[in-house]
Amino acid sequence: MTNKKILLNTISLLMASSPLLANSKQLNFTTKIDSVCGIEITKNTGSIDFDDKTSNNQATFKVKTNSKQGYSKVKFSNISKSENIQNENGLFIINDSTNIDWSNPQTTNIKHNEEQKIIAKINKNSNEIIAGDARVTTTLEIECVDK
Amino acid sequence: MFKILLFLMTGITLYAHSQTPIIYGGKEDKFDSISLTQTKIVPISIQNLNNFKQKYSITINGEPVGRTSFILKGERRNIKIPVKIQKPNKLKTYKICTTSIPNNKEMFNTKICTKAYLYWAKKKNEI
Repeated sequence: MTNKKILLNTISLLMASSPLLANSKQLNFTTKIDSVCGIEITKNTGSIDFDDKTSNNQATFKVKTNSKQGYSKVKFSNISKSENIQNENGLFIINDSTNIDWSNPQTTNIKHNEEQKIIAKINKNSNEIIAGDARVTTTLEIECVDK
Repeated sequence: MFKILLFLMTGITLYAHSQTPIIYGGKEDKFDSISLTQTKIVPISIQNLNNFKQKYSITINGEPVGRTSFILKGERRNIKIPVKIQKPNKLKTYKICTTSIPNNKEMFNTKICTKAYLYWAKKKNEI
């Protein structure tokens, strides 16, 4: 008798719940995460090295991106030189390996959150340069990859 | 002592800048691309992550269109950029960039761009 009751209750519960199951709706939670592109310059000053004069005074920066690719393109633009090195060409050297020529700066890929060390270099002896403060400034243009 | 202090002072100086979105409109967000008028407002958000206030200049395809007032340390600012779409019924790309305006003798300033794909939908009889 008890078994019959349990069976009847189960069947009626299943019958009652089946239309509910048939009409059940899924809940979806979505949010679009926009791509963010950023740069963090952890040291904004460095020295210019010459053939006869090197220093360990490097400028440093990091790229911040939440793109799937995990890297950004960095372009050195608006390279501006002080008067005494106006006619000199030079390089930015990133991590002792990538050379960015001032007269024809190429875009380079930089990984997210990896510190980049940069020095400026003129391939001449310092005594060949007109006396005074030699100075170079540039714009670091970040182009995040989002495809 | 002075040297140590100077090192510490420069050591904590942080120059940083971020911008979102990187792409506006295009394949992923076609509706954002479409404009029924020639001028489309493109919203961008920039954040000053420096530990000092900074101004930023704004350019569209390299042409200066304005500059922000000082954005405070850590502040995120939403800016509505009006972009004039050159030709109707054609998908055009615009590069909207913000560039930090240096305060002192800094070796770098930073520039970040948003690529906006814009389409000015205009009826033929309106052209």
